[in-house]
Amino acid sequence: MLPRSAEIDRRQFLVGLITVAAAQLCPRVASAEEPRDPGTEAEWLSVLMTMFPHPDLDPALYQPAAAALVAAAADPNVHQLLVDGRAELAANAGGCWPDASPAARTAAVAAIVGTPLFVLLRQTAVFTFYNDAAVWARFGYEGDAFSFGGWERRGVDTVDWLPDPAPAE
Amino acid sequence: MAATAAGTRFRLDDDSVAVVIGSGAGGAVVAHELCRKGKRVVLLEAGGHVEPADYKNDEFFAFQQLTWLDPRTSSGSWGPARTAPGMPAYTAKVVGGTTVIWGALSFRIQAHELLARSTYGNIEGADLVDWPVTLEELEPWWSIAEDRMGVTGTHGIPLLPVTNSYKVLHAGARRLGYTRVANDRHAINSRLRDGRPRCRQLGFCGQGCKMMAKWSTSYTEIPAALETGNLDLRSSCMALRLEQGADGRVSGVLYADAEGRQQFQKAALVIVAANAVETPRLLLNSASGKAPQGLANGAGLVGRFYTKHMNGSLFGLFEKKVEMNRGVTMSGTVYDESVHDPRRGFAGGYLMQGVQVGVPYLAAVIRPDGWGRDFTRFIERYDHLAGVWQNGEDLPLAGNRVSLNTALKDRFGLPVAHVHVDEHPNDVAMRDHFYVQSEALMRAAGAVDVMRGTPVSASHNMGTCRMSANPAEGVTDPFGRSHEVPNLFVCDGSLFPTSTSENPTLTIVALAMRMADHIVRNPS
Repeated sequence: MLPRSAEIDRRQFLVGLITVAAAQLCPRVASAEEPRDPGTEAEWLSVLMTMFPHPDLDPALYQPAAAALVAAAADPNVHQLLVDGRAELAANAGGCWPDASPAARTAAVAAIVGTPLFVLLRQTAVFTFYNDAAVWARFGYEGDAFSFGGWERRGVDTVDWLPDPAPAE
Repeated sequence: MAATAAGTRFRLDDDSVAVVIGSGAGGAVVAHELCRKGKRVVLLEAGGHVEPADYKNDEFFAFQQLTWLDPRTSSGSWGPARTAPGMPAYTAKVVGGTTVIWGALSFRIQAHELLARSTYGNIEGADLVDWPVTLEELEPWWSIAEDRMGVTGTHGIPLLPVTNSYKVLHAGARRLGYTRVANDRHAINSRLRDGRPRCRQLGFCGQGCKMMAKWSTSYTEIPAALETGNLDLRSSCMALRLEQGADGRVSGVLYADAEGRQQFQKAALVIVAANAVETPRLLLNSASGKAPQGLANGAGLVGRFYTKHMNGSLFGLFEKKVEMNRGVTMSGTVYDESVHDPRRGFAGGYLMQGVQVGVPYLAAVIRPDGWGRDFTRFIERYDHLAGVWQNGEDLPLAGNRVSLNTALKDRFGLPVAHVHVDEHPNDVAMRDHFYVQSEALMRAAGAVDVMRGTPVSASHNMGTCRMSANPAEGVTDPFGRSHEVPNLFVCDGSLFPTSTSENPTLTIVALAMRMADHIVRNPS
């Protein structure tokens, strides 16, 4: 764990990074003269935070998923999806992603539900972000139980706010 | 022959052996029973060995380690055709088959369900039949199977402890007026039994039970069969086709061994127990000049009448902590809706079962298309969630079938299985009823909000080689023997004429034991 001050610095740094880098999600990416840019980690981090908003989470927790997405662009098919998707999301958000309101960004994502880009973004989030022990800890998912011998002796019925079933039940 | 760690080795040209294809609930049990009775068996399993020590309490790791990931395709109006088109069925590829990943709920089928056609009547668009086996015939075999598997609440076996998931299910059900609620019928040791320890409530039943408390053929039936000296277990061996001799009998099995080399094992009889998706695929891929539509498929019924249960789930969000991950995957059952009561607007019934999954499966499987706050506000309060699962009878339709997709081949060049399911209006009405009742149950227990889970890839695959006394209506006779090929048997969920509302494994095991008894008593 980072010391608390470093944690805050890191969050501020990331938020700043997102703001600056996401500016590249402006319409110039749709121009034919622009290089075919699949986008940066910070840009996709911003998109992932819109798709899977957890207001109480450190944005840094989305970073591995964003990095996985950019790394996946080594595959030409994924590269193409990201190039096109970046332009499409910017257009859907009213022309410029960073300038768009949270509601406009959400609407931009709603417009791509079911598309190959949506599936790619979702799968990346599921296999990286939602498979991260640091995220589990924030959600109260305890994961592996074999390492300490299971819940039998630690409390398999910690719910004390409902009646106990009769023994025969 | 020579004894090895994998048992005894029989020669490829030994045409006196029985070859069993698949080492799950059907295949391993029928193989073990035949070995016990002195028959010599070659057991082919497409998957490899995984020791319980190598199972991992990790949903995605276990998925990669244990699941049948060979390509399949899907179509139709059912959910998986949209959410998981490349994986319509969720089965295992490992020694022990799907018993490695099953939830271990073990129920007997009810009398009225065995008489589905007589009880429900002629439902338009469905192809209902009665089972060709009576309750009285099955009861002794269920009893033996329960004893073998160590099913709680039978044979004096104590129940498992109450878990958080069960507490929620029980309280909600009782407040809703349901009367038949129990945390019983687990094939999971509640105390030391059969040389295996009691359950320590790891909560990862679906990822392979590291304690070996859950019954799985990989560490029960298979080692027991090996000890008889009559079993030759060949793992990582994928059956490719069955050959039919000039006399109409199956002469043996062509398979790819662990090195990918093709081998041909001669056989006196062949039992196909590859799960109800791969079993019909293998028969259809065994077409020949003698059987142009596929082996045992002269009547055109192989692969048809596929059923897979109505499955779905609903998760309640509570103000106080639930911690559903603490305890067995399937915690207990509400039996009240598992009746035939047409006033509800559908025929047949369903069980409601307490279920828990981890964050990865909640995101990947329960809500495969979830996003936005509608999704995240639930998953981020994981420890405040409780789940209920539907296991309901879906109707057999001739058009719901496993067929060959000749446009897509596996690494051996064989067409893959294509699974087509169109839901019958009865299926849809049953699922809608479940969503209403399960929401009422969760709210009665105190849920402040609920999230519906999507129907998932099928684990309860059934019906694709259904039994019938009439050769025009089924692929096999009431003992699982092909009507057309006298030394060919099917021994898995494929045999089920209808799906019933009960989880199928106990009956697969009972039918396997009954089949072995029949084979020994009636040598052909």
